[in-house]
Amino acid sequence: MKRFAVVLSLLLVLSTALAGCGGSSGSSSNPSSGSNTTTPPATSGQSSGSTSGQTQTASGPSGSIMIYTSIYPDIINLVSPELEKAFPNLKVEWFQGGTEQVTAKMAAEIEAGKIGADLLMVADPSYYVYLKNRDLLMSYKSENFDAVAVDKDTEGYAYTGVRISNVVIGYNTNLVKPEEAPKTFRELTDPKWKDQVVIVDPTLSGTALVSTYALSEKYGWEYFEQLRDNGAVIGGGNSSTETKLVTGEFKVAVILEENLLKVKDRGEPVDIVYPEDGVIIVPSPIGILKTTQNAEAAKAVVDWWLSPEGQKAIVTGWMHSVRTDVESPKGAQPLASFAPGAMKVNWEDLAARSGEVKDKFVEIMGTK
Amino acid sequence: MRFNFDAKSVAIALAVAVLLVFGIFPIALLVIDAFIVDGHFSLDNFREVYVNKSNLMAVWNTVKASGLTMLFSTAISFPLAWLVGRTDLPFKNVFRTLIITPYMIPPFIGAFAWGYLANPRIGYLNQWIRAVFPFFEQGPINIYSMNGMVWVLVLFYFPFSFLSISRALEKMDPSLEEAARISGAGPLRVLRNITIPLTAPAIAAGALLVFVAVASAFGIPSIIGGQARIQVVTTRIISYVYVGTTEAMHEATALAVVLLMLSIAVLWFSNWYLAKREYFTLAGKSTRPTLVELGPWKWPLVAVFAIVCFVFAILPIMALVMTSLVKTMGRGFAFDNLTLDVWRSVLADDATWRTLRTSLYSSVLAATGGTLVGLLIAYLKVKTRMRFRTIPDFLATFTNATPGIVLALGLILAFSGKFGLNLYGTFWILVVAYFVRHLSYAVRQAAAALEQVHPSLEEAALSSGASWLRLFKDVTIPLVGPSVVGGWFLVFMPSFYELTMSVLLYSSKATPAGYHLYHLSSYASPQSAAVLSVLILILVLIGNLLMRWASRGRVSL
Repeated sequence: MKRFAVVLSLLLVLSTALAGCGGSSGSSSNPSSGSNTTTPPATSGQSSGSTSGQTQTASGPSGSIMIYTSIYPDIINLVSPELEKAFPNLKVEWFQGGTEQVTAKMAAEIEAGKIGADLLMVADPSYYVYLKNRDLLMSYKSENFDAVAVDKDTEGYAYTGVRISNVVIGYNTNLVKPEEAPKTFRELTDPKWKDQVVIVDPTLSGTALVSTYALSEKYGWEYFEQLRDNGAVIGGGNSSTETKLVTGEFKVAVILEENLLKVKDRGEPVDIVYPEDGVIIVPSPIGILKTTQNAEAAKAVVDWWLSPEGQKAIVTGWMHSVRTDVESPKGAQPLASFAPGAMKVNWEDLAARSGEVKDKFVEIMGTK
Repeated sequence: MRFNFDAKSVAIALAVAVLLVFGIFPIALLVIDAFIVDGHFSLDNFREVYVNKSNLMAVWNTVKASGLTMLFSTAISFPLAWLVGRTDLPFKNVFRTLIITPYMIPPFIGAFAWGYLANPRIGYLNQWIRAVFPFFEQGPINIYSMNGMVWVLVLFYFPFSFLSISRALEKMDPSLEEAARISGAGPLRVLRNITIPLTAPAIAAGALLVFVAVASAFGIPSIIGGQARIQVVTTRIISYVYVGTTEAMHEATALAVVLLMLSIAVLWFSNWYLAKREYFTLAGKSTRPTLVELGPWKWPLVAVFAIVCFVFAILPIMALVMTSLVKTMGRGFAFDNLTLDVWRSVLADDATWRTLRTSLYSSVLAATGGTLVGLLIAYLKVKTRMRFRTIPDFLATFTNATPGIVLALGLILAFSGKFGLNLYGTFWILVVAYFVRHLSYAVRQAAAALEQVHPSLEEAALSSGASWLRLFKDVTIPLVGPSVVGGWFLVFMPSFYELTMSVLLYSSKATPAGYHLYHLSSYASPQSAAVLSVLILILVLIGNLLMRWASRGRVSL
């Protein structure tokens, strides 16, 4: 028993030591830190008279606000201090996950009648159409609305594009010479690329869902059958697909431009092809949930994201800005150079058929 | 006597109530929802889901993968457990720890590790093999296949059956074996006619755990199976869930029902099988099994065991460590491409320690609660004659067989405050999720131990006037203690690195390490994820060693 006492005290020491580690650096830059703030979380009291969140003082909105998002955590780290500066009285909380995880969480919350998010920033625009059709989004025309140059809801103002991701072709420069790299998505069904192509799973990634839809609309589902017969493989989400390209397990990947820009900057042997048959442009929106308890703050934060400052953070995170007065991310081609030839996507149609698209993809790619 | 009965009933009733409220209620909510389309009872969701060819294929793949994994796991567990528990094999304690190390590696990290090791093109193993035998153009090992997937599944799930069997072997009353030996039976005959039949309940319990765990596993099938074009039920369920609509959520639940049915079938079979025999091997006499002398076989077997340990434990850890040290993944493992920067940045990151702390607290609570409730439920099943006594055990298996993601959705539905209790968005939802999901490990472990305790010991205590609480505290718990602590670890470890549920249930106030690991692997780099998983592994190993030291070797995994 004595020995157990020793172990127990060791555990105690250990946990206090861990606590020390957590507190010592004290930087509040991390999205999930901030446990020591005194402001009550937005999610806690739907029923109680929620006047606290809506008081607006001279120094901007106060209270707290919860953002559900699929943007990468490093961008959250980047914008958190900026948001703190812009809204000193507002506590901004984040839930971060892949688009599909966020939407799954939302589905359960809608069912439970308690949506935790005030603001939503996920990748797939068709999901906003779905939410709008269910009357869950608040209509809000931002002061920066007119500066936004991409897809936005010009009828109901339920959502606005806030960042642009592009699905492109990446290749491993150790294994493929630039002049030999594939020029089009179509070319990936060529025997030249037999067993060398890795693609992202649309059941895991919102942007891959969009690209799967766009390619199947343009070339028909035969395109995916041909890809499969040519030995193309599903690499999981964008990150694990990125790893398979970087390590040279596959020579070519259909993947997000931002992943390629990031690892290329890190010194990994990859480069980007903007396919001639059309880059797939995904203008990911931002929208306010109708159930928000702090609409003032939510609107102010939307304005901030669409402002040049907010957009610069987006570009630092390797995505393109929705404004024309903010330049492209480092190493990327300007949006204007490939936007005219981009593939067309009907978001309404995709919103109605997303389940079907995923099913069809799994049916084709999931069989030998 | 009346009071004794009451204390017992109250304790057991409380345990069952906890299981019902936190485990069954959320799942029931979801399942009921699946039967309702537009406000009316309907089987449309089920029709939709079970007509789909991909789903039927997935069901078959799940049965196949789980069945094969169960068979292979049992086949390797018994000889290994026997060698470690009943022979004079040198270094057996080291082997014992090494062999179950995979259980301490998060399965999805393990799947990545095996991907690095054995992908046909640039896997480390395949490169080495090709360096020695240049005539292989590709491969020869392809981890992205059904065989590869079963291989990885066996590696990560066989510890269930190994632990179950080795516990039984160590606890077995040796007098039966001695009697057989004295009557002239050879060691093999003793093994076949005495040891194996006596450990049959433990073998069956272990096999059941493996089957159910594999059928509800998601990490390995999604990473290995995805690329091999093998869909299983869990990956299909996730596809539905990730469609993100309420309708798709109902379809996901409808599909999850098949997993629940599978586990019911396996559980029913094992209850039926075990009900035919009665086992009491731990009586109140000295029980120190005589060790079989291996003689000339000793060193060859050490060599075999060493190779097995190397492949099971060392190789994947090596792959992780190697990954954690490279500068750019594009150039692989070369001496001018090594760096400690990733280690430095992960260790210096505030989030690393904060999330580890959250995981430590939540999984200690989940494991402690699970052990207590599990012990009572096992006691109810094994040691009482109450009606419906096996049902709580069955329900615990049921929550374990429910895919983590479905359980997490149920918990959101049930504990958002709609039914009075508001845990969602707090630290406690994690504790509840881990507890409910892993409870059955504690129940199984305790039940297997209790099954071996002869009633004579408790009868002796009761007839000497001890109350039930006293009996439970002074006789039952000490007798099954080591097994129960083993069960604690079985709950603790998967909770410590739990990923699937954490991803949906974490909040800014309580972010567990499993979520952080997922986040590193998807957004930072494979290197930093490798660092965190090595870190988790080290912490768990230290915990295990401390446990062993504190209990003077009686308690360990």
